[in-house]
Amino acid sequence: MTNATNHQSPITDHSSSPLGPSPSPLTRLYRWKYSLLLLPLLVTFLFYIFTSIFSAAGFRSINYPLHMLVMINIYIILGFSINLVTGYTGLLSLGHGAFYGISAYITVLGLMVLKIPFLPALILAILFNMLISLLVSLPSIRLKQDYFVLAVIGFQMVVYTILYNWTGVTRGPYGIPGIPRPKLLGLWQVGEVWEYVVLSYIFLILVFIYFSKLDRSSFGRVIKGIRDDELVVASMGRNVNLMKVYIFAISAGIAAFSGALFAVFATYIDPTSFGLEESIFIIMIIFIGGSGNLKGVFWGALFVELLPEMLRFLQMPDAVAANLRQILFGLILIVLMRFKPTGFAGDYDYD
Amino acid sequence: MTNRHILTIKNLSKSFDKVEVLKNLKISLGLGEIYAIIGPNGAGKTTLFNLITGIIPKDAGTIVFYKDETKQKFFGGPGGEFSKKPPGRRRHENNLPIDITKKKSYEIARLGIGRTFQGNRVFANMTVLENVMFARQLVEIENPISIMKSTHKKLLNQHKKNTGLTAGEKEVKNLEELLKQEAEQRLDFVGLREVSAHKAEELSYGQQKLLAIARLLMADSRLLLFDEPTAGVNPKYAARIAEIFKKIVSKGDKTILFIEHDMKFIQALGCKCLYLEAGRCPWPFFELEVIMKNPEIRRKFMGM
Repeated sequence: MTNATNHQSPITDHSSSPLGPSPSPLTRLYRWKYSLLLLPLLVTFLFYIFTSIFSAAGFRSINYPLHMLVMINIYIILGFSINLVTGYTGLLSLGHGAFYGISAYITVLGLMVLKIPFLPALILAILFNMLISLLVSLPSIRLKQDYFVLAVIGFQMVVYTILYNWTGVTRGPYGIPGIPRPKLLGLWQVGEVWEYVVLSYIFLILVFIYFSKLDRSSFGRVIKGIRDDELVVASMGRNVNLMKVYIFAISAGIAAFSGALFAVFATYIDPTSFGLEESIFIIMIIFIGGSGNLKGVFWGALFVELLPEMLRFLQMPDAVAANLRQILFGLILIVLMRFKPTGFAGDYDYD
Repeated sequence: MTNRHILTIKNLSKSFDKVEVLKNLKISLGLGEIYAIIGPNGAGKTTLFNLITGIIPKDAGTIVFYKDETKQKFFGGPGGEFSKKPPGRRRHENNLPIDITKKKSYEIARLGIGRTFQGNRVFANMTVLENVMFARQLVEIENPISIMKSTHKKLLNQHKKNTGLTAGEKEVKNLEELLKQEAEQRLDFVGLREVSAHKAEELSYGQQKLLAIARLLMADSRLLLFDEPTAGVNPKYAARIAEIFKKIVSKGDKTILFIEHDMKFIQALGCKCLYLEAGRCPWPFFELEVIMKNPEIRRKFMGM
């Protein structure tokens, strides 16, 4: 509440200002939030060392934590994608598994059918995702909240069905093996796991820069306003539906980075990785980690990726582990919603 | 006070599921005045606001709003675009009548009509300063591509050229600073400067009402619609709001139209009243005392 004796001038009080002190170009490089990018590295390696010390098998190959790191980065990028739509704008989307899958398949289309190099295939996937997002957003953006969610779920189901059944193109449940490893700019052939780590980090940094610029921009303010009170935003002259269409397109474009990475990393894709279950998994990232800000995505992705690893470390047989993971997710979510609805590190509380 | 119109409503009708809420309403508002809408509940007052601002569609009738071409359009005023011509030229374009009957709500807001809502809808998760900064629309910037540019030097320079802001003023490095300055000005006007770093949900109810007023001022709206501006505030705040209203129209370039049930507030303002009952406005504008002299209104409305 207003403290009558506290006359701190708002110009100098930066504690809750979104603008912060104006940085010189040099200090901009050393902003603390970029240290978030080291978080996956740090946590993954600590986890590796910890589990190796305490496990009977001892230290496994260094490729193992690197492999985990690539998947974590992929999910951080997906986390940003969903955070934009759900965390910042307030549109619950259970369809991002579909966007993830579409971009993976389009990347494969580019690499194996059109025989174009990786970066053009990535750009193709991004553009195609954005186009497909229009297919979702334009019809359903005017629907009220619950119906919008249903429409997006419907989209997810349709995409899954197409991926599963259009066997002529996608080979259906057999999946597509033998995806070629990426060669960037004709110079860098990515083969080793550590090279994938570098590639995934490059994508992550690009997405992170864009996202952090958005966080502090006027557009970001409008988006957060839409989450708080759409009607007021419209009464202040903003075309809310257009903003939502923009956000959906950008979100789908970001998800394309993950899809392309996953396709060339796993070198095999099939529709079961991109269904409703995956969409829910992606939502978990921000529900558990925290939505509406930058750091929540990192913590969330780390949590959802390392939890199954933790179960494996505790020597659960794989069959039990898979179900236990889901049970644990559910339990943690319930506990969090009771005690910390913003997620571990979030800014926004869904009420 | 001028004789210029700012809003003309002709034969406005609206019904919800065969319940006629407004019937052939005919109102004409002048620039630089304060108007109060009074009447029993359910007479269609908020519906009238919703119709003017384009939130719900009209059944019949026309609404014409007189837009100010010269004043707007520099640095995100109503219209939100950066002006290509400096203000002051082409005076004959001032006061253009624009038919807003069919326009969407955001288009109407951009023309210069702003409103507050019953019960204070502010952005709870943003600070007070951010809330006010929000009100200024920057159409060129609010899209996902231009966020990559950080300083928007060209737009800033154009604004400086248009408004004559030179080295005399405090140097602003980017648009955010400029927005911040303007927001602080508005907060000074309503007296919320001390709390500008607080989150909006932490404010008291009366302060949130002032915040809503500050937001409208930031949007540089020409016609300000207030939905029950003194509902639930103590008399001290009500007097403060009355002062603010008088200050707002003192320059003669804005009009205030508000719905109110608090008669003392209207008496303090001494403004013209519009008595709305069952969707009709049977008399033209009069002062409150004159309306209260009518025994039928006293019986229906005041219960005496």
